[in-house]
Amino acid sequence: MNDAIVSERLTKHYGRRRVVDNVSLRIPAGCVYGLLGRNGAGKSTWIKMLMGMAWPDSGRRVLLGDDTRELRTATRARIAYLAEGHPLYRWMTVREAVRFTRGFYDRWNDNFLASILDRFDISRKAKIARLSNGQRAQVSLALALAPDPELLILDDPTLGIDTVVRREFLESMIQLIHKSGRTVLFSSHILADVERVADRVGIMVDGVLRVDCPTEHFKNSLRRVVLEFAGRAPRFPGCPGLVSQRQLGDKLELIVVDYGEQHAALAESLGAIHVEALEMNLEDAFIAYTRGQSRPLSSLEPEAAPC
Amino acid sequence: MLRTLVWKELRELLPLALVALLVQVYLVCLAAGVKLGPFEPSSGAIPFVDDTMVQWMVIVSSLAAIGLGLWQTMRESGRGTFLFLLHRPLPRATIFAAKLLVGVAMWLAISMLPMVCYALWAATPGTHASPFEWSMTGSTWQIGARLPVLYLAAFLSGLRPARWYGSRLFPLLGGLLALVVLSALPAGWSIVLLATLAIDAAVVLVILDVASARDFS
Repeated sequence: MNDAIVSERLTKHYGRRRVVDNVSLRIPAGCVYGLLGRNGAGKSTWIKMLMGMAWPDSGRRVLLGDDTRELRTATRARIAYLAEGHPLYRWMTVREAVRFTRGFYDRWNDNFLASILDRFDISRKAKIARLSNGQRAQVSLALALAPDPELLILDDPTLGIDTVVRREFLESMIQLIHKSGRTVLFSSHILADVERVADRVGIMVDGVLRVDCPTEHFKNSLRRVVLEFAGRAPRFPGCPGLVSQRQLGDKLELIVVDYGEQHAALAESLGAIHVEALEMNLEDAFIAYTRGQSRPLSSLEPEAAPC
Repeated sequence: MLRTLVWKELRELLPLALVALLVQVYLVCLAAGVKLGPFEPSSGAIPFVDDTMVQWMVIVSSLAAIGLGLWQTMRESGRGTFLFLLHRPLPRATIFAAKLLVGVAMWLAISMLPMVCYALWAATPGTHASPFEWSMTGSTWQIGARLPVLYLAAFLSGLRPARWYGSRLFPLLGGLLALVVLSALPAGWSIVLLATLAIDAAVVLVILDVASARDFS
């Protein structure tokens, strides 16, 4: 299967801070990929690097077969990009924004555009500046989709939109996703958005891609393991799959990916008197991956995305 | 594609250009002896020789050049619309070249058109009681030819990323310095034009380089 998006060891620093750290990822054509991460995790910077809006310090990125550094205009025309905050020219009316955007494309689906604008009751005469955040998001989405792109990259498209409008926006997205062969990458800090739409999920923490796997697999593979000891709980040795650990008196709480015999044997060797492995829902799993204080030391983190 | 981009740039610059043009027209009116508003029209000055109004028009043209350059870049940066614009399927150099061409054209309309009108008025017999030869306007056109460097420098200032406003203005300070150097050149069209075009071309190249290499966010 062809990869629509390839990111190879992309790294970016802002000053001394490494905001994107060696992110390697391949998203196959036709995949709906949800990239999760807290604000400031590096999602937007990574997406901007993919789109050629920011330059990596090292690494390579390829979109629809073209290296972003040499992205042909014909290839760019096949890619829709919704930047964070839905930037549009606020002085334009919706009609002017449509006319302006249409001027750049050979392919343009007026009917589709009209259907989105009508569905959300957005007047063509309305100034972009007068639209609500939700309406502006819909106009952005309509403008992005009208050229019938093969690849859609959405940077936190539901940011700043209230719950009701967010649901409507996601429904629009789900409709467009159903068109066969279309690849969608969207970032979000809202877990429910990803759970509803994505068939594959990535989680970025402090610029590092910690998870890259099918959404269902991620939900099913993470376990909270509680070890009980006779005395004070010891530290758990670093091993593959260990995400984090927290000592609570005589208990040791572990978050483990693909909990198996190796982990059970280690627990036994530490002298645990009781071991309980609990399933986690996606919400808990996400929090476990992204929470700040109890995130593990780097030596304890899995070598690579675990799924 | 270019037409739609040019239309967008013209529309964005229109408010600023209209204000500058109104001021210029007002100055031309005063220079031509028409009383409008609180200011007295100039009287007794020889057009383009000892002419305070022309000096004011040059000042307004300079401010317009700086305003247009900053307007075209800082508005896009401030509102995040560079991300929208630069994703359009056009080479980045083409997008910025179109911006620059529209900016220069707009500046010419604001600055040189009123000046030409004033010169035509001055050349019309019976409009003022002083001598007039077209050669008297030469130094004004030479000043006008040098001013686009201010526009380009302002454009670069707005485009170039900087940590604070002081360093952001370095290109603009460089533009002012270039203007001083160009003004110090011996009079003569060929030298002034050659030096001006060389500096302008160098700044355009820097602009295109910055546009292709900077991060947009």
